[in-house]
Amino acid sequence: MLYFIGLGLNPKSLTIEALEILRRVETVYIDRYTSIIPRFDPSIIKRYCSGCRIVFADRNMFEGYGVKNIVDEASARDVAILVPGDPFIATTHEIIRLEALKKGVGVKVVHNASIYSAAASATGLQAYRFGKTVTLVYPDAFKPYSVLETIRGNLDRRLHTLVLLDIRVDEERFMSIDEAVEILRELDEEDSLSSVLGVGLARVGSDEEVIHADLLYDLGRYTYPPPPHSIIVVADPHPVELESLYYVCGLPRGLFEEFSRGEMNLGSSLVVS
Amino acid sequence: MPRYKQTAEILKIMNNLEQVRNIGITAHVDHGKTTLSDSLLAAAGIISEKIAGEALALDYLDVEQKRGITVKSANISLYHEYKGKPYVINLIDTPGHVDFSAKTTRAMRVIDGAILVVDAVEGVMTQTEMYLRAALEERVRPVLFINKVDRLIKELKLTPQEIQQRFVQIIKEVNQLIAMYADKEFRAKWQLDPRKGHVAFGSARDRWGFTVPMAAQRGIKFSDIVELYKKGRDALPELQKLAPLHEAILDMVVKFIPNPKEAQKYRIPKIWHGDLNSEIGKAMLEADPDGPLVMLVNDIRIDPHAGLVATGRVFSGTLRAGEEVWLVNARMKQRILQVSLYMGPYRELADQIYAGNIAAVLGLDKARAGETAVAVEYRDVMTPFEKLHMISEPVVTVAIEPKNPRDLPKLIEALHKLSIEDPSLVVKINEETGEYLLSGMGPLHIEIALTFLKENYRLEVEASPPIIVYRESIRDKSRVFEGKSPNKHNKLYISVEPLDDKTIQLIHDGIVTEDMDAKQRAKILREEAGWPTDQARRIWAIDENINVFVDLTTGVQHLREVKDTIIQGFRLAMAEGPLAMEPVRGVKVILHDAIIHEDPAHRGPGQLYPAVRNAIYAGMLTARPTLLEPIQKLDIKIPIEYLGNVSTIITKKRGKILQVTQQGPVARVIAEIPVAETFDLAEQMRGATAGKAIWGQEFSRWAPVPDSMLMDLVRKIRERKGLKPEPPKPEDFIGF
Ligand SMILES: Nc1nc2c(ncn2[C@@H]2O[C@H](COP(=O)(O)OP(=O)(O)OP(=O)(O)O)[C@@H](O)[C@H]2O)c(=O)[nH]1
Ligand SMILES: [Mg+2]
Repeated sequence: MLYFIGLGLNPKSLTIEALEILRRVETVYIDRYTSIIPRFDPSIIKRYCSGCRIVFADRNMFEGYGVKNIVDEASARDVAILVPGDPFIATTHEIIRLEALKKGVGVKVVHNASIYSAAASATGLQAYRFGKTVTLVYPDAFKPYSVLETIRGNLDRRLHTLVLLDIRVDEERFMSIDEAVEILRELDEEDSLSSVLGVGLARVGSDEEVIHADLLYDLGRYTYPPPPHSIIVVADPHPVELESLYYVCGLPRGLFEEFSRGEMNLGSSLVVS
Repeated sequence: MPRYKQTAEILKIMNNLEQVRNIGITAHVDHGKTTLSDSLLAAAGIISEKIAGEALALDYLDVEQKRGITVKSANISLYHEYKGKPYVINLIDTPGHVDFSAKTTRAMRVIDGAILVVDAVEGVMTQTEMYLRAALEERVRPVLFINKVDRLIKELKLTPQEIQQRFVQIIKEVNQLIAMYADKEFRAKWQLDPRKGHVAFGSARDRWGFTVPMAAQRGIKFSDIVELYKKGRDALPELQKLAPLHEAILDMVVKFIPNPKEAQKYRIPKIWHGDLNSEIGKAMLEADPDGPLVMLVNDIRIDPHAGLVATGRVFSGTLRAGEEVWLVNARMKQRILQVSLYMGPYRELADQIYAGNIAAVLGLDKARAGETAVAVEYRDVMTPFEKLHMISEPVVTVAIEPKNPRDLPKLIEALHKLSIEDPSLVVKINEETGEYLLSGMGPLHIEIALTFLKENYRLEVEASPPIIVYRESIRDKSRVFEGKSPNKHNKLYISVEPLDDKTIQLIHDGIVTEDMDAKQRAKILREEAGWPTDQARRIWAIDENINVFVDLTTGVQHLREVKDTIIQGFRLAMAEGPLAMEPVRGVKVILHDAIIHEDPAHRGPGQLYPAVRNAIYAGMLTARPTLLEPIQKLDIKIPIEYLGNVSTIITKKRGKILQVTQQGPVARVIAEIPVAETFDLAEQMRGATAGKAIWGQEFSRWAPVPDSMLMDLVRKIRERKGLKPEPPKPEDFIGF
């Protein structure tokens, strides 16, 4: 049997269901590369699955031939894969589930909180108003203009964009909000996002969580705890959302008033063809 | 008898282009170029008064002196008076050995005339032909010096009649080559006529020489020379007075080699394909000192004191210290810190050097041989010069490591410097084995590089026996393969096929390049190599080992954003093929379709490189893959009785005799043999011909190894690289 277990957003968010499963499995693979959980301590896992083998997995183990090895193992004994957040939000793991099902290996998923749901619950922005999510990657292999296209596309349809920031565990590079703002600015050659609101989220769902709302390009000015970070690009906020941005996310008073009076109708001013 | 001159005086002459000549000395190895340059320098070299009294001799590199072989090109300048008028002659002595041919080829670009030296005993040899051809292709006008005539007299004891016959034969052969390789308009005009003084005869070592008109004027009779030689060495001064070599040579140069202004009129249209009516074009045609600056760098030297010295020719404008220039290849601005001219073998500071001259500059430390420096304002309109057609390729490799592991950083730095000075020396690091691979044109090239490491950089280096670097290629078209990324969310549909010979030729000759205008490229490929229109128009990349990437997809989402990543993946795959991780050559890779993941985080290089590689490798492995080996051409002269022995050696070495001609008692054999079989060739030839063989060798082409040897060779290469001996199978790249 192959269990996919969500670790959630902080070291203490493992569910009771997850703990019970951990007691039975023989091998635990901990995904250490798709995301990171701040202050995650693997010894907690050890405490619950005494005697099991714990493997810290890098990309090679979850992709390519690694997939075959894990599935082969799971056909003989109980194996758990621990993934930050909710298991299948990271694209990678889907091929493991599919391979297991193709080989007739049983699969069980234990869900947990993910940045996808936390983005809405931590900010008060309404879950049904989020458009396509996108990852902003470091512009070294190529310039990710498509990120900007995704944001603009969402804005045109009056939808917020959750922008995940690049995490490269193997290179120890984790994109921060101020880096992200710089990269976006550089990509935004027409300066089309300069009057758009944004929310910066750091270590969401942990004790150290910090959230700030401001003009998107001003988000870099705040101090945040170290990554993981993400950003929400806010489309024309609904009055209730605006109040949440002010009361929950600390939107500066001036901007709150400006946007309340509807002086900047972002939805329409952003129709850039 | 050096002349001491003020730099200012020389500069004044240099400003008047009618009194300037830019020439080179070129020949087959050992025919006497350096000896000739040396005697010219001794007789006509100029030295500034400042350093008068210091030794005047071409400052040989240690290695060159010990081995009696030139490995670099050397610039010197000479002062000569002809009919009462002073002339400055900028002269480049070039290497003759084929392993250093890149230096010679580069020098051709900056000179207008060449003294072709031919050893009277050996006659016209492989590199005589090779360099004469290279000169003619650059529209460099040749004059001829038949050297070592003393040997005909003293050693071979030929009669004056026989000597004359030999001269006639050499001149005839050279004229045939000129007729064959010169552009139409020069074929007849540049034929060498000894009666007009286009040919000098003499001895560079003994420092005498004459042309027919000079002999008539001075009353020199050949029999007098033969007589003088009978008197032994004591007669040399008399001989030198009777027929001073420098006068014979330099008069010939001043008379028949065009001055830079005349030469640029017809050379520029050949070596530069920009718009001749543009401002730059006009200025170069006229060698206009007031035009935009254009300087072509042909040689880089690293001076232990001054740093990087770039030598080259100013084709237009004026070179001034302190000015910023744009480097076309490096794509950057740099400031010229110092400008100098050559006085004899030394560099002397100058404030400015005008168009038409050869100069050295400091400050352009990002420039490499072949760089073009232009005035910064013209950075966007400068068309680069035509690519030089390099004669040879680096086909011999050794693995090296420092004896003392702590010297590794020093070794890396030294290798870096060596390859700046000699770009045909290629340094590659094998990441997996941590090996440093040094590749050169031939065993001698490598040997000299190792000597440099030892003597100039004080590095003790351990080197493996020479290795041949093969190329991987294919002989069939593959079907379309699906290349998956490790996360399986990206899929590329790719097929491979061999490039045809014509396309390979066009790319090799630099007629088709990656960065040329795409429409122009499509037209050439369609018309000359029969490419289908859709493919010819959609080339994404052409890599350095002659492989082409073609995109035939339509409407693939996100493809634009991953284009550069895919191209990079292609280049990486071409750098190390599937059979034995040797570079790939002559493969066309076609992308037919693709599925690209929605999110940028899942379509990065880590995902796409393997996807590209997997499909290409699977394709190659099913398309009758093979290894190509470098083949060398041999040009051998032997007394006819040894012909049998020589052909036995060639056959034993998997070689082929292409042509045998007879010239009196001498047989000339043109043959081909694989480079892999040449390492003990010298020894075997000596043994089989009692040391009487004279031969030259040069790179000829890449050819598939015999199928019977293929798998064994693949295994050997893989084992050497620490890979498992069996090459992968196509399935290894299309499963997961
Ligand atoms: N007898 C005789 N020997 C000569 C003459 N000129 C040169 N040599 C000898 O030929 C050999 C080669 O001369 P170099 O001047 O080094 O020849 P090179 O063409 O510069 O050789 P590379 O630069 O290595 O190609 C030396 O041993 C010279 O002394 C000559 O006129 N007569
Ligand atoms: Mg020489």
